Amino acid sequence: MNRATLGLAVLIAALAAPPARAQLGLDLSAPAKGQKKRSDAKKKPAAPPRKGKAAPAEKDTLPPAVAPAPTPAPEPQTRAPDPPAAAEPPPPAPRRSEQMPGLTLTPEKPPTAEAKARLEAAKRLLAEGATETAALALDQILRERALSGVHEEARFQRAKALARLKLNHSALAAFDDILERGPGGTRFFHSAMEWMFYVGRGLANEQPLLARVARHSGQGIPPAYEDRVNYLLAKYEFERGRALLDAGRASEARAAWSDARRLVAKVRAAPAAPAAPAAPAKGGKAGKQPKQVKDLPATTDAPPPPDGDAYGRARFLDGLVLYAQGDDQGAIEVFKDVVRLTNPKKFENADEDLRELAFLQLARIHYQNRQNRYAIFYYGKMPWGGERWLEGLWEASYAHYRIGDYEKTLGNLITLQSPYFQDEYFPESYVLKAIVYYENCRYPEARQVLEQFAKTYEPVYDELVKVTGSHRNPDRYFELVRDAAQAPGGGAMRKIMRVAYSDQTVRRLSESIEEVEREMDEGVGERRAEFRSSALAKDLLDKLKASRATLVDEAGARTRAKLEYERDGLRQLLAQALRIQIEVSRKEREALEGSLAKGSQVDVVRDLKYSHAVSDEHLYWPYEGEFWRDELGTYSYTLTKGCKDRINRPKQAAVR
Amino acid sequence: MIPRRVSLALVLLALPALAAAQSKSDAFAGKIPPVSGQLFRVSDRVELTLGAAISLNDAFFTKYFGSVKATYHLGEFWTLGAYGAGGAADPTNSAVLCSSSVGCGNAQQKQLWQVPGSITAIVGLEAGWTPVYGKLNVLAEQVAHFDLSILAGPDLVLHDEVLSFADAERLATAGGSPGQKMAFGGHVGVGARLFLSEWGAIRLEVKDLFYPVEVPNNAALGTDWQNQLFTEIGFSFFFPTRNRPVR
Repeated sequence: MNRATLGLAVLIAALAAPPARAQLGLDLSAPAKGQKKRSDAKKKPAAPPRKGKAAPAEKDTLPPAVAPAPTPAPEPQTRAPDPPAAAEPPPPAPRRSEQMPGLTLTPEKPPTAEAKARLEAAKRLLAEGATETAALALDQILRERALSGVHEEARFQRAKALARLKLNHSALAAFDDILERGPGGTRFFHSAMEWMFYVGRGLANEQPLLARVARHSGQGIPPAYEDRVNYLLAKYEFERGRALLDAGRASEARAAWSDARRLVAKVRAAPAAPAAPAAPAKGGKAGKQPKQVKDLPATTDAPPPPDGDAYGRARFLDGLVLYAQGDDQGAIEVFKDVVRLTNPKKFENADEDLRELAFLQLARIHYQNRQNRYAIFYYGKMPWGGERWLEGLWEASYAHYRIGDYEKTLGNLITLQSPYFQDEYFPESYVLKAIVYYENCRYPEARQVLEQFAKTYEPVYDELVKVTGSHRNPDRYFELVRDAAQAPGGGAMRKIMRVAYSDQTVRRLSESIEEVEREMDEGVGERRAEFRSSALAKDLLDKLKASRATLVDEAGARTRAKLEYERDGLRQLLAQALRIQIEVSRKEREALEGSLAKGSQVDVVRDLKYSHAVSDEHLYWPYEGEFWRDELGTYSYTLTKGCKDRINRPKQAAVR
Repeated sequence: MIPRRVSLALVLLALPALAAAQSKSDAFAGKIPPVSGQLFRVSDRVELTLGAAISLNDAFFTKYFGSVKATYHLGEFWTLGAYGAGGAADPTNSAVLCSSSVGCGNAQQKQLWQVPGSITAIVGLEAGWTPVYGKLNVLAEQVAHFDLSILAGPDLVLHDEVLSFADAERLATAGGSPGQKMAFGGHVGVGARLFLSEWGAIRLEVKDLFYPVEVPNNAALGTDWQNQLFTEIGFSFFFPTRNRPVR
């Protein structure tokens, strides 16, 4: 049992290991002016943050688009937290206005007639759908100092054109140029903010958006986006809190989580009504305000803001914060609330992914509190074949083990170790299997499992030591893992590479890298020659290349941290397996000695009572070595022999 | 392959619907194969089947054939084979003639010579596609593994010559019997195997044999294409007698 607990501790440590947050564009420094105001709000006294405690909420805690990074250990270095950095790097500072047409430093002159005509012509092109030509024309306007009177609007229109061309990362960088000026510096601030959300919807993940929201939201939020912004800021604060905790700044972490809860509370249950035209930017140039109305995404080609999906996610986030603050009961109630909010029978378009996550968190909290049957109940709610189903099955194995349901434990392990999931990485499943056999006095089987485990995973550990011990650039780590994960074929090393690749942060970064690459190769590279050879295309490609390089470096560093974490975890498991093996040998020796002393065979293993009977709702299918995919997850191992007297329960090989 | 454990009748009746239902409900469809570690694998093995066939729904002759078939399994799904079958064609009980003058009576031999369907032997080639591998729950605790195939191939059909009324009369008077003729035809059908072990299986087939035959009594028709339904049951032996190891 102790060994099992140790194994469990490894699992829990895997779930609880805080990631290196500083890589995610989080600002661990003192709150900025705008944020300071928020943090001054009345805070509830928070329970001590948990670190080292089993943390079910740590892995896959948020919906994929918003989840914090899961398992890997923090980066080993103990350097001071990084200054704020976006997942996608902010645009480099301009050197000369000629080189950066979007950021001219010369004061804007009143628009000349020619400038107005040129701008109108470009806008007409945009309105007519000649977006590429419009983008080029607008870019040309921005390159001519003589037309600086319309640069402000041209800059916005060019960003819009890029968004319409689906050059999302380029468009975000272009809107950054506008947002950096603040509402006082440009009348297009709010429009740019709305467009930023619109473009963000087209991204594979929200990380680039999150970093930008955190950066710019202090300067004003479009009313229609308040809920969403509050949710994103809350998430940002939650992740920031975790990063602060990792950095050993517990009191600041608590403050961040309190802020997160305060922001979450602002998210309304009912979706905000579609916004009226955004209020004119304060300090904007008088006489130009009405034009802003035309630039609202809702009135052009941008869809309306997402309706109400922020509330459920915000509630979920609230549960995570409560859990982080040590309020398990409060977290449970909130997660139950999320389950109710996402009931597909009551709500159309219920967020099933969020529901699945809420169930998983409920299961983990109950498991952590040794309420194993509740945990099993909630683990059983994972949709069959869903994204987290296998993970739930694996964790449920431990809960079954705790209540002595070895049949179901071993049955779940049959699924995990089936050929279907040969690329999945569950090394600890071998250890758990060996423990179950050991506890049932099935020493030969336990020994066999451990030998198989050592044979499979010792080479993997050696390889991991080699990989993590070698000096290579972070980008090489990322390339290594990505190539291995995407290559066909099997092999244990590939499993671990896949695990590294499936790390949430690595995956998010990887998605962004792929998006940037696609934008370079297809978004820009496959446009007509006139566009490809333009100065605009060159600028875009330069920025995208720089962005990619930063992302790859970040992903590489994260990958390395993940591989090191897996290496250490595997080392512990191998050591644990060795200890079990020694224990198995000792038991076998004792049996042999007892046999010699008595002059006869010692009957360690007795026949167990078992039955093939199943309930009326099930069918019995004996497992004969053949795996049927519709049976996955339903296996129950029939223990016919053992040394433990257990309650007699129906057993079946696979029930349907 | 489509894994479904439903009654054989349902499988036969509702295959397309099943496939559709599965793709909707099976989270792993398209991601992982339906069956792994298949107990009964036929790939790269030779199947020798000894069987017995009987014709169905022929108005004039019931054929009782013995058959032997050799099939090579190119993979789990595709087969190529050759077979031969032969036996007797007996008049059916429904070959009855009724007239207002003499009433009803069994058709005479010379009358039966004027109708097609008296097949005495068939040899042919056969290609098969086996898209379905399934298992059935039998009496709660037993499991029967089966597969379902679609079969087709060309045939050489040996049958009795169909005579005209005059020729039949003449031959009957002379005490002879009609000659044999060969015709190139083909067949399509469905087959099922019920696996008993790695080396043996019960094989069931239903197929439609079609071949051209000259019917002199119906000159306007000229060559008539005959359709003969056969059902066959046999026992298959697989060689080698164990599953080939998975590569």
